Amino acid sequence: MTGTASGRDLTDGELQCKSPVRGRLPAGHLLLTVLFFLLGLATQPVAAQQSDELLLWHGYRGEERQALEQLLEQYNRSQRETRVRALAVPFGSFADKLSAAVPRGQGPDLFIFGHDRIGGWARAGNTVAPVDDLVSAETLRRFPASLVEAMRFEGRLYGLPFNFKSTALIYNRALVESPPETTDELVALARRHTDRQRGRFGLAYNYTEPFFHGALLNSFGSGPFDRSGRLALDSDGNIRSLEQLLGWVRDERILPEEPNSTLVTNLFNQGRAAMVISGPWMLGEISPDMDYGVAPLPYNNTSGAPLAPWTAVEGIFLSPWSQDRQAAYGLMRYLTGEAAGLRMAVAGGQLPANLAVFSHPEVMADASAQAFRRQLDTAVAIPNLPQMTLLWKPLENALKKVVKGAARPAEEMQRLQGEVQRDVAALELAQQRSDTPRSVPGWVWLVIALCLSGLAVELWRRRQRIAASWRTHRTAYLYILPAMLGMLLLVFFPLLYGLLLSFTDTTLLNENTPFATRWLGLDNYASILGDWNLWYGEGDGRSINYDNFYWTLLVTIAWTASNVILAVGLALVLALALDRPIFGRTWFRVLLILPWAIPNYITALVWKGMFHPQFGVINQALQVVGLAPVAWFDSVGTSFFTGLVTNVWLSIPFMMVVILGGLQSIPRDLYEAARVEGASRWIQFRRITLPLLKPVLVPAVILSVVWTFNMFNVIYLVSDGAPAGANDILITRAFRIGFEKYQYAYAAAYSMVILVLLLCYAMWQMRVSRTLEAGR
Amino acid sequence: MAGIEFKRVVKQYPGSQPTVPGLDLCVRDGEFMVLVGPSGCGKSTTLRMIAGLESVSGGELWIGDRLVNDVVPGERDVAMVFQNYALYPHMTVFENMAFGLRVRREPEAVIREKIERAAQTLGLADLLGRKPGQLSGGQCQRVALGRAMVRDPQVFLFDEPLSNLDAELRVQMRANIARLHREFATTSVYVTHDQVEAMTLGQRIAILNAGELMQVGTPMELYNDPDNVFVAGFMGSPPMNIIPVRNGGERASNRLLDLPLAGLSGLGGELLLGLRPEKLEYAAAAPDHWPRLRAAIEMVETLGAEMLVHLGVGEERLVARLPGLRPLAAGETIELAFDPQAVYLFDAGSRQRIRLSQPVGHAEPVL
Amino acid sequence: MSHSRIVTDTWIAAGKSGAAARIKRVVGDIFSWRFALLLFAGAVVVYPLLWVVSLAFSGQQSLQLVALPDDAGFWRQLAALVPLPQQWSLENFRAVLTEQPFMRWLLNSLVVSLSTTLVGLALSCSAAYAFSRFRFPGRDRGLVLFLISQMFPAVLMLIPLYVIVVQWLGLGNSWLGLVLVYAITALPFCVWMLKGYFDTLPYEIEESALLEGASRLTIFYRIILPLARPAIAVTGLFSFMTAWNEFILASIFMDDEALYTVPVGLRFFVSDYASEWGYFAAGAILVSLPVIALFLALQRFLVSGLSAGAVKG
Repeated sequence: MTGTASGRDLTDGELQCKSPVRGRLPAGHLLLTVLFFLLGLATQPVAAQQSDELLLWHGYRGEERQALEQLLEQYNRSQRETRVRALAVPFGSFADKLSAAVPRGQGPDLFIFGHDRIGGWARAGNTVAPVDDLVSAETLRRFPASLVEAMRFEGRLYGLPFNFKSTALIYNRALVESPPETTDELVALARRHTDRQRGRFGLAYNYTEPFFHGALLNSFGSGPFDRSGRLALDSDGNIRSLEQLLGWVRDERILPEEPNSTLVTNLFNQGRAAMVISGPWMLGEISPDMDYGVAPLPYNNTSGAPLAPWTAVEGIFLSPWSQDRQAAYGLMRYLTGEAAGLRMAVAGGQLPANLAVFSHPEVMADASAQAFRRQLDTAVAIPNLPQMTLLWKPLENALKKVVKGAARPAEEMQRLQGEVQRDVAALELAQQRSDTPRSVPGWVWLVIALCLSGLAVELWRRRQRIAASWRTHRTAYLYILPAMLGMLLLVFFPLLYGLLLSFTDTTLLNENTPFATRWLGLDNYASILGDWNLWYGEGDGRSINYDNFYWTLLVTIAWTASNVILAVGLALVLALALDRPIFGRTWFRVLLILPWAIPNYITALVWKGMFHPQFGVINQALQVVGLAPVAWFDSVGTSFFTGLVTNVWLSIPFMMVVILGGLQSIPRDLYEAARVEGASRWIQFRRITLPLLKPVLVPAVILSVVWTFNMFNVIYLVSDGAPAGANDILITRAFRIGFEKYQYAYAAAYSMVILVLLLCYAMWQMRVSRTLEAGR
Repeated sequence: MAGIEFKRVVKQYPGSQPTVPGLDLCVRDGEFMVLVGPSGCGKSTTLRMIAGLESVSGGELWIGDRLVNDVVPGERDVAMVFQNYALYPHMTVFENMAFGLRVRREPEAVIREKIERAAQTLGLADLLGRKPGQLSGGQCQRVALGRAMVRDPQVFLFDEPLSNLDAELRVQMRANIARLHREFATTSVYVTHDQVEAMTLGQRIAILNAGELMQVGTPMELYNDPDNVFVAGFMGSPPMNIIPVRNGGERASNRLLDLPLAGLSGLGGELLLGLRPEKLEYAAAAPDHWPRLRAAIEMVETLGAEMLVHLGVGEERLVARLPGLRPLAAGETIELAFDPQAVYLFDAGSRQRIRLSQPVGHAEPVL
Repeated sequence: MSHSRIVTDTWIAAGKSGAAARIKRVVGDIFSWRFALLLFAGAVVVYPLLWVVSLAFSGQQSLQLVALPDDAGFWRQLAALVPLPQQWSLENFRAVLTEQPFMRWLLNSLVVSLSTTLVGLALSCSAAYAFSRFRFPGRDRGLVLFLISQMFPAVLMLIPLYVIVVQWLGLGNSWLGLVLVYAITALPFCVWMLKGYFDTLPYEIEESALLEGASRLTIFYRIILPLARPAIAVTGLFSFMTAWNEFILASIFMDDEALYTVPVGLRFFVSDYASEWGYFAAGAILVSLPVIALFLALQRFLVSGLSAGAVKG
């Protein structure tokens, strides 16, 4: 019995439990209905994968997808042995789908994906199969050596290159007669076309994205790794590439602030960017009345070499589980053949890796395609080392910091080198450890055995009480059972999985090794909680280490508290305004609930757009009323604010509905009584409204705290932790550790810490509200 | 129809004192029994045990010739009227009344007929289409009554049905309930904390205190012949004056009065003397042998034909119900007399009635 | 005659004064601080949404950036803040609806979401009823357990969920797996909200029905469920939206494009290289319409205090 159960509760509990239940349980009945219904759902035709059917996953859409599907259809018609079935997967979930399915023996025979993951997959095993034994030298001759090399890792060939993508210079012919040959020309030209007052720029590109910065980076020759594949971010060339970019942004001022691909396209389409650096994917979005040209990127006077953009190769990969490797290879050959390439190029607007296609008259006529083809000669394939995947986000943060003047190139690159080096070392260490056979230490088994036997003893000792409890409260337990079973299976099992994972050193590279070889113990927790590196640097130059667990915790708490307080407060005000009849009440009510109805993914992005420092309406509005625009994402406070506004906007409807419901259940005569006693509005609110709202508010606040604490979408989509991860909350940090640094176990430990923190909060909150209740 | 019998019925919640430690009570077939007592005395629990809403922890509970300890509420054939009406807010009055009948799968025509008859009796005919939210408290209670009536149950149970109504309605409803019982003579158990309701409605009244049955009897029995201080103090309005007195062997006395009594010698040193306010009279008109007492008036409540006079001497307080013959003012000293025959004696320790073999007031009164 | 005319006249006069009073009340409402507040809040809420709408109807993939001359007047600057497309076009909607089996996906989503609602409500109603009406050992802990599921970051549940649903239960590529996961995801909220609402329903109503011989089943269906309609509407809506907006599990579990749900279809427009925001906005509006319709239909219930008047007497 609970301590708080009043006599009244007891009586009724008694009633429910003792009165023999003759009819079936309502819940049981309901469930039965649902079960039948669900059986209907389950028996829907599931396309069975026939043995001779090849399944191909890809991430294409639009024209390129149509082109691919036509090719597959043709292939299916052309022969009888194999049938190919394609599945398009949205870009946003493709990688997750692959890494969930393929290592577990599920998934397709073939998949088309960027080549830069090869290293990680190959190291981890079970995701992609080498195809050296299948591919003939003759077939390989279809592709340029650089693209074949991109598909190789540690001497083995994984898949065939299908299409390639790199950036080049796209220019507005109305403004630029002939494309610049050198960067000096480029800068001079760009300066002429830049008029910042009118929002015009000589050059626009997504320069804070490492992929786009590759052009500058690679022209200095060194790249992120040295010849032996070791990380060399702080090499002289890399630093000079940053300095050159910094010159373009801050001295020449030819580039717009806070670039993103939508902005770049937009500027170009409106004739407000004379030149952009972008890839073939942009061509489809250029407005039809725009006269544009494409040219390879110019020669870089500073480095003495051409700008060398990164090439991403879309490869066709073979799953290690494919039943019929020969048939799969047949399809790979077909798709990389000249005819197929031609269709991909002409109908799909792709750049096929089979370069013979470019000599075909139809493609010869396509000046843009030819320009990208020429760019390939100087372009550099993205390194497919597993370490490369660790680089993107930290490099992006570093680029942002440098171009905003928050860090000097040399220092920032040295810092970055150290940071990424650590992440790489973590991965490599884990892998090395997995290579040496290990077993879970004996004490773990001992602890588990002790726990289990303790549990068993306890259960045995209490068997009578448990049995009695089951007898008296059978009805109650039966009511809860279905929900609990579901929770057990779909919540607590994953949780247990997470818990076990957090005791290992599982990373991308060793996730498919036996569990015992990954066992680590409590090290992850120790390193999270013992993370006292609160500062970078020393003395006056020191700054807060934003990657630090305690900083992130502080931000998370501030984020949660400010969100919930604001949301509850504003929702309360709105609910009070809506509680009594007013003209248009129904409409207001619907209107104010709207943010709840629209997927928060898109509204978060709209808010991000509204906060854009140069083109966002918020800064424009500030300027209209004569205030200075704010660089929203540059400082910790303002960046925090963007997330806060968005999330409060998103969470008010829920709170408002809850509070409105609570308000309506407060008997009106209480207010009348209070009025008679001369209580002011404020007193009425304090003494009647708030206390009587508590029963609905407490659960809503607890839920809302939990949700806000784990509000991934808003942080990730709006501020993305800007600046430099300072505004990351625990969950986005866990995500970054798991999916940007690939330290799965560490991320799991992070998540367990989140869980424990929230659990403590919930317990505390409930205890507080219970004592408050008891005190009343 | 059936009687109800409690045989050593115990109600105890786990981990606490028994709410009802062992009740023996018999409600006769067709009887209107009122359970009365202060709040928390276990009367509602007792009622709810009859209904089956509370389990019986020990003993036997019979309705008619059926042991109902383990019979579910729905099969006990009892109907209950709740204090807060417990009408189904989402159903119309008609549907509310029809619910139980429909559950029992009675033909729709029968249901309609029964409801119309009940509605006639209770004056609800015009309200059948309304929902409870549109009704006044009195109307709600009539609907609740009607809902119980149409079921034509073996036993009616009432759980303080009138306490949410205003005084006038309460009187009216009381009459209604009494009339219905006369008409149908269904065994009824009625719980209230209001002794006026108990006196006016009950054929017999059971007074409960702290789960113990204090006394059962007709209203007059309880009024005239209370078994203990509790019953004496509970029945009658204003309640009986209970005055602590010292037992002097031959006289019982305190600062207010000194009463010569025979046969006290075997009793304890402290006694309680009970005297109904209406038994006090003006000393002038009283027979000479009646004991007198003089006291200062503290307050007078005028009721028209009569008045309640509150008297006080030191710690002692006393109420007298006197005819409103002459105006009395606070502070005045007044002399009253009472029939010594009307005095009740209680033991101060056990608070039980002391029934003397010879009537009180034999000896010569003093004062 | 005259008598009837007088009656009519007074009647009209009464009507007139009624209308006048109504107008007066409306005017009073409009000039109250509450109205101003609501108006402001409404504007803040709608403004970002209008950007979505105008992008969707622009026929383009991104809205024109405003190019204002330096000497633009205050009003022109202000006008630039109004989210209106340069030209109106249904092209985005046409493309979304025709280039993909969008309607089919919408239908799939509807089936999945409605099933989720049904399963979620069945599970949560019974559990919440028990938590509200019974006192049993483990009750408080049970309530907290439900909350825990919301505390573990969903992104990290992906792999174990895949293992359970696809590998163990064999429910890959079937809506049933999705429905189960969604229903369980929405469960804690539903249980908590429903429990709170059940707590406000008086026991006597159930007891009364019990005495009338109704079975627990009847009571649950005929008394509790109708009385808890507002709470059921809210929790049902919540379950529905959980399923309606979820994208990542749907795209990972489903191996057949014909079985995709509509959020999966929407995400095709977003990729790392180039995103078709116009299509996405149009799609998002199409996706939101059923939910908004649901809101409109249920808004009466969302905040209704159905049982307040009658029960509390």
